[in-house]
Amino acid sequence: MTDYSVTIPTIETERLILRGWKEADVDPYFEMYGDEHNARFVGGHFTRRDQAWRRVAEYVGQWQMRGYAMFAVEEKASGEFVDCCGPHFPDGWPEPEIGWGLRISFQGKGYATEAAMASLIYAYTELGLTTAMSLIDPLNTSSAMVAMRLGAKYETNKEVTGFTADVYRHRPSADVLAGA
Amino acid sequence: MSEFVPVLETTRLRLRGWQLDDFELLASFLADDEANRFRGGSVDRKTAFTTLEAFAGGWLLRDYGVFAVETLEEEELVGWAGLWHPVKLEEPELCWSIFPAHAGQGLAPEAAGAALVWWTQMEHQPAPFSMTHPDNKASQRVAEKLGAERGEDFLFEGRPSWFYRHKVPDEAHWERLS
Repeated sequence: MTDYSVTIPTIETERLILRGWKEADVDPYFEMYGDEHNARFVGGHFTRRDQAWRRVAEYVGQWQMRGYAMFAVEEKASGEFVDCCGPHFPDGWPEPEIGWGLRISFQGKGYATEAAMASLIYAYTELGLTTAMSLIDPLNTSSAMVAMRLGAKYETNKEVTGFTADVYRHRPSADVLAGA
Repeated sequence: MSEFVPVLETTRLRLRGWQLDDFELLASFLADDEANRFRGGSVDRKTAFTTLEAFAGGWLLRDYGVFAVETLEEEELVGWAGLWHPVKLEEPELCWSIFPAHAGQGLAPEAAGAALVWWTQMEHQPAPFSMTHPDNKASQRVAEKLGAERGEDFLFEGRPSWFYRHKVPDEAHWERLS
């Protein structure tokens, strides 16, 4: 019989912890994406807290069903919820995406790059992916910068389930694939 | 975080956790305007996928949630039942929905009854409430079959709703439900 359990691994980087989700993450998540401006590149803002709760539940649900999904990201030093990062594969996506977000007060420190790099290595070494992509709003220059810092290259502009995004292609280096 | 979704069996049904294979049947049900007229209307595939994710993920954020309901023999997904608790509600709601192709066979009270027994008897939780749209006669009949008592009508997201308070099933009631 199917085992409806899930184990979300914990990944430590120099300054961050990628971990499973907690209900306590809902408040800071809502605070960030309840704001129209902050949410302009992620498909619209929340108007009620229960929408943020549901989004967190969706991430956790994707972990159970796909065996991977977005991590919650925490700052090691403060224990604060930073945002989310990780593999993301909803219905209608052409392939798994590596996604990231960063709450305002944590921006400008290289955290998105640090978390996304850890997610990419996880995707290559634990999930067996040999490539990955990131979907980025053409106006989201700071996210495009993160993709380029990760070594991704612009590939194409594509319509995905009702929105148009730039596709950035990640490819692992030989040493990552070799497990170095 | 809860790690497991329990599996419950009734005479004809199995209540279990959600899996990716449930998506097509769930999405086609949620795309049906008529079947979803009391739940705010139909939704597209993209939103249906988030519903599936939220059902699955809700279990892990809390220690309870909404079960997928399948037939015992054919293992065909026929709907859902369980405790739904987004943060806008002060307590979990006992909810149920059986797809139109399987309506009229008493599967909704059987599924919701199993969830009610599990919640109150095995988890030792107080009897939950349910709400229905004032025009949703079928759902009101299910609430009454479960032994719920009608409370005061209230507004939920601006819509008038009928309120029902369930009771903790005793042995005889339990037998009838499962």
